[in-house]
Amino acid sequence: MSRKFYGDTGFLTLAINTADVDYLRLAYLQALNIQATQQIKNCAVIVDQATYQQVTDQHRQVFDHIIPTNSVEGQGPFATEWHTWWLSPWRETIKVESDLLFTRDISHWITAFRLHDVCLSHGCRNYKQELSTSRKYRHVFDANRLPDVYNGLMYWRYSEASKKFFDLARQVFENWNDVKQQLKNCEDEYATTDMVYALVSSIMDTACYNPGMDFINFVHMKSGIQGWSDDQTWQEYCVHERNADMIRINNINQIHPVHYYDKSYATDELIAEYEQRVIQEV
Amino acid sequence: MQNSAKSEKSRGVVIFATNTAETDYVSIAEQNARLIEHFLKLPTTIVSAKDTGSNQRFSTDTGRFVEWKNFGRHEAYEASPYDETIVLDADYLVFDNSLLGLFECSFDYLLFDKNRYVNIDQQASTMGPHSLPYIWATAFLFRKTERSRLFFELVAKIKRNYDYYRLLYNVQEGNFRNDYAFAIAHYILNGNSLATESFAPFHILTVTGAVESITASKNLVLRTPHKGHVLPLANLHIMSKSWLTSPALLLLVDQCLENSTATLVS
Repeated sequence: MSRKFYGDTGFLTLAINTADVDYLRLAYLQALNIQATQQIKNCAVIVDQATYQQVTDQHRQVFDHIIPTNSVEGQGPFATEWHTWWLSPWRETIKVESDLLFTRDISHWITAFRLHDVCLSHGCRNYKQELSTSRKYRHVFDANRLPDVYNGLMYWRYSEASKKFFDLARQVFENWNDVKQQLKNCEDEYATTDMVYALVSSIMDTACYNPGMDFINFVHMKSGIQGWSDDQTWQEYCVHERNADMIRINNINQIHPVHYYDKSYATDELIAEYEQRVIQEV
Repeated sequence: MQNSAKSEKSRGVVIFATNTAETDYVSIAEQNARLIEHFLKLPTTIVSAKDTGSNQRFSTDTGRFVEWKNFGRHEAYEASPYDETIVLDADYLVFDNSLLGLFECSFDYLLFDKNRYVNIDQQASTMGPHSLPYIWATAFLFRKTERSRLFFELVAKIKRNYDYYRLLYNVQEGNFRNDYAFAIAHYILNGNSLATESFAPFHILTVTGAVESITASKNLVLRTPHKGHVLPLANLHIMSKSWLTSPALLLLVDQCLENSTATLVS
């Protein structure tokens, strides 16, 4: 098993634009944010062919690699997720969802990541930085006794074990209609990445998360995680501000990475501010 | 020759009590001071704050709003004659020595973030439906350090500019509350974090609404109009001012002191 890599460790995200969301724009903001906050600055994005057409010189200036892939038809919006193992340009990959921002360097997490071939976030935090006890979005996980993992921030290194993980993930994605018959209370038309990776984690004979290390997770800003109704987004519920890279929500500094979820958080002003700070250095 | 002996730090209790037309808080504080002397073996100073303001609180006894002069808790740092101070509301009655044990902890100031109601369902302790948790300024401890001084100065600043901080922190209630000002000051002083290490490891126990009787033996036996409760002989926050200002409080305190004497003799 050998492959050409372009760097030892780097960040990777997926940006498959939809009719409603310009994920490439979110990934671009994230790449700027990574340049500003991380010691590890390698950044790559995987895009589908349609999104690839949207790539500009400005994007190329910030991303080290922009990797086109073919989208998978008929298997839902997350069906390309398993491609990431094969397409990552990094020997060790930190994969993040594109609507996640860092407020401080996490390079010291690498030591903990490396305890596993694949290391998923376990649990998530509310804006108060507490480990969330909300199970609002995890009923199926609980009913099936699946680990409380999140793919929003995860790590893998190039290895036989991580290949097996993504091979299994591919099988679950491709056989979702059969798989979901075996799950209790699961009515998801399409496989979601969290569900697939939780299933694979429970099948793998090596641990893929580390619940004992409760820092490998992020702040999840879905309203229900905060104990609020989903009728409104968190931006409508509370005060928020920024101080350079720090995001302050309801006056609490967000030490952990912030999965802002509400895409309107990525404003033109925020992108412009980061461009001003980062692009000249790049 | 250098004196290497450690100087003894003074330690005591400060009770904030300012009388209103309806309530003789000082008389409640005086009875509490007897309990404090008995259970904590500490001196008590009763303080009527200068900056009491004039506010209204909802009386669970009468079901109407009554006068309330309770603004000046930020004066605790200056008002306390002690190096190490326990600050109490007059209505937080001391029935054990658990507060003394908290001095074993390392802190500049120590706050209570948790309360448990004896006789009603537990209530959310947040400053608003989408706001942060508040602190129970009913009881707290502090040492005279620079950080504590900053904390109380910040509480005073928040009080002076309460309209601004109320908006900033999504506070729902219009009334100024020490509980909220303490919480906001604590979060600011700790770099905009909850800083739970500054919180006491146990909760305040509160009985709200009307009280018919409280008797003390090995336990506290509490009767409300609809229920009876047997509680441990532990510190109790009693909201009913009409009960606290009745002769029943004097009898309860006498009973506690006599019980303990009897236990010692036997």
